[in-house]
Amino acid sequence: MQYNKIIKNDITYHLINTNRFKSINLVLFFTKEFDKDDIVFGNFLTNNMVYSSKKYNTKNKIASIGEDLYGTKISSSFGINGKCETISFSLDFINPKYTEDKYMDLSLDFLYEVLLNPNVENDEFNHEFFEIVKNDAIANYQSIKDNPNLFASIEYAKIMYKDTPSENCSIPSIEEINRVTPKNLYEYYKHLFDGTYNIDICILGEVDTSIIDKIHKVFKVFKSNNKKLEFTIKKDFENKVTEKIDSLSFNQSKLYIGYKLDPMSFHEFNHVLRVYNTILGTMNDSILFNIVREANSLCYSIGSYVSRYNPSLTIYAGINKKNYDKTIELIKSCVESMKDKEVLNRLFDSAKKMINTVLNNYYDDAASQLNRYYSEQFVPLEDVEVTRKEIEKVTIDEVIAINDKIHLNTIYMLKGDNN
Amino acid sequence: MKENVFEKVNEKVYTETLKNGIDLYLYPTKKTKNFYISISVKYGARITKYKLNDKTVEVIPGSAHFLEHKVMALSENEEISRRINELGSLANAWTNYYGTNYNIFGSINLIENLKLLLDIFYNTDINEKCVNEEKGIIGEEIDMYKDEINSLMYNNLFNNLFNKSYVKNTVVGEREDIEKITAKSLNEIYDDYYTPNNTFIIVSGDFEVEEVRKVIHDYMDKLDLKKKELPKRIIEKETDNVCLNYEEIKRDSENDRVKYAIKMDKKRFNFKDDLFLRYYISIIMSSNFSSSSPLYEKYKNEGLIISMSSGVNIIDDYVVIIVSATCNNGSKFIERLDKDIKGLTLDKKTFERKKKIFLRSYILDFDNIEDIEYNICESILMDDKVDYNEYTHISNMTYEEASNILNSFKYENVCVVRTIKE
Repeated sequence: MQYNKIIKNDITYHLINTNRFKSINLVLFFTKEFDKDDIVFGNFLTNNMVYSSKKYNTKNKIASIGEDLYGTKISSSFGINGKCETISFSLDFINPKYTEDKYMDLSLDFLYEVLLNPNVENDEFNHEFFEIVKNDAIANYQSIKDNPNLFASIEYAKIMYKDTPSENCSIPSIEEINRVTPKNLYEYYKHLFDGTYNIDICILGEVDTSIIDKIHKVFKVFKSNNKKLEFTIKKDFENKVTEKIDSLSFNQSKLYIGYKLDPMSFHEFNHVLRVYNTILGTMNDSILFNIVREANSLCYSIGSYVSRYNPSLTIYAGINKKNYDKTIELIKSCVESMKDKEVLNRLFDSAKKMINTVLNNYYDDAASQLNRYYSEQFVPLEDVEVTRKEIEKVTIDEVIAINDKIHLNTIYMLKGDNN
Repeated sequence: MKENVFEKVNEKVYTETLKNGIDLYLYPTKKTKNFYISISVKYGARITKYKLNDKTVEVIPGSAHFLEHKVMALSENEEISRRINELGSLANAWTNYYGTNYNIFGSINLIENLKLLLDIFYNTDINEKCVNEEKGIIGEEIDMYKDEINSLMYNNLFNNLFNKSYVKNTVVGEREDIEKITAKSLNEIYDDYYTPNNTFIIVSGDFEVEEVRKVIHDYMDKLDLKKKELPKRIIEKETDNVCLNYEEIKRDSENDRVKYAIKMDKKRFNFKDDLFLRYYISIIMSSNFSSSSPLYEKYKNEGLIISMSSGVNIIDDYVVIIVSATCNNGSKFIERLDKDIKGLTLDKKTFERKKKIFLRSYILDFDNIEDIEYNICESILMDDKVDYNEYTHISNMTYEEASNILNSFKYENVCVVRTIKE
């Protein structure tokens, strides 16, 4: 695998030349500081642009051309990454050596069409398709309460990440949806290429730098910002615990427990906390799995994760509502036991080895590699092999010490009221 | 061992059947630092009743899945669990209607992990205490699936489509089913079905074929398990009619969800290969209901649907086609679909375009060792074979055959499950 970073007209190209995969992936990332108003525009824009284009001016046509190119896919998304927001368009297609050479250019042409030739008339997005995308957006918002995990995670984030961009759900509300018109959406579209965004283009596959020259011939008209942006949110928090319970008619209750983190060094956050989280909630024999599920039969799913861009630790579990108090007490005792050297000793070496296995996944996953090189523009990262070595250096005492920097902040339960 | 080459992508799988009947599928590759090892048994939730010698056994729904939990009971086998953790590996298991799969994903010492997986599979200790303790965990798993509306609707749909079939029960069973499961009932199934000649091992990763082969041979020689007579699955005679043709599920939801299914006798299609019958029908359904179809466009432009998709299942002697939709008005959608489904079409250009999706999938499935393992496993469980020339077989699919299959569709036995606002 060979990585090349080339900057042309402030557009940053990342080329990952590898024959590891049988597909070629290309992702355009548009990044700027987060603005709450953009949630609805970002969502609408990305959905409209892949629904139809000027040339492929119906849903049928745009879907058919993708199928005709051996299932070439263009997907788009709007997301919140800490202090920033990202609009992305990704193209993936089979390496033409398995089909015919012409499919490389045809697939790229498909992407250019979607990006540069939207279905716009008189400076307004096509009204008919705009209304369809609007109805889809309303339905998407309304369906949140059909998905207990999604509903609970959104409500949890509102409390846990209050007054930061992470408190927002990336699915726009109906009130927000009603603010968008075909005209103001087109105005928003024009900002993609006028220097409002930092533009990163990541390409992965069996391709050389000539593909950058080829793409740049088309994309050189884009203006990219070169402002230094940063994902990570740094915000002081109060040492108090907020508890909230909502109810919906489900069988199972969803529990989210959030811990805020004191400022940590790069080593503490990226290496020590990773070992800590693995022992607590991700490995086979994790403390949460062993105590809450296996020893007390209180749940089927339980685990923990670290939020990188709004530093925090979250524990989640699917439980029966009648076990709420008992589960919380057990989870608190599990976190408390992370100070116990004897408990950690049993799992410490294994956790490091499991991280080693998980780190290997990076080489087997195209999306991880594309995202890594993109994210590196906005957050300090290190090479996977450096991480591997640094994880090895973590000591039990460091893991115990990190416990003092973890503070319970939020307890949220979506109570399943069916039984 | 026999070398088998997946055509077009030139990926090699080495196979062998040991004298005790266990099948090996070894896929060595330098493309990854990790490995994925599995041992699977051709016993899943579709076996509801069986006969072995003079005994006939009625299987309690949810047993295959419960047994999976108790075979992969790492917290009850501290030594194995400790070693798996020490190696930094992840052990997991899954059950479906066709089989049960136990797997280890890791990066350190493939050989030891392989032995540990075999130890897990062949050293079970299923007792009453551990079975009772597991009921709480599985109960939560059952509740979790019931909260997933799609999963709930599929379960109800299959329950309503059939009169006797195994699909009337979910893979995990109901809470009242698992209350009836005992250590004795699970041990009996284990003894009857977890036999070498009903089992296969898949190893994928960077390894020496001969070394892995020898380890398995040595392990099996030591274990000295013999081929056993396999139980005969008893299939209750299903009838063509659906059990219940319409059901409403009350739900506090703004949009309606509909699952519209048609049950057809498989004999109508006069087509021997289930895998390619599924492929042909998938193409027909996709041509009519995916986002590239005129019907999708029409429904979308009329504001009838928010999303729509289709699928095909072959359940013993029956083919079931399903159209799923999220829509603004479920009643109107059903009314329209009732008419439109009788006019399904297929043209040659669309057929050839849809074939390309299958070819893409064939090629890209080799990018990931977990996908490779899963595909080999699924092929064996569902179709009892691995097709190394599937690329050619897909390429050779013909429009004429697809047209014949479409002409054999019979639209009488309809079953609908929909949500309705509470």
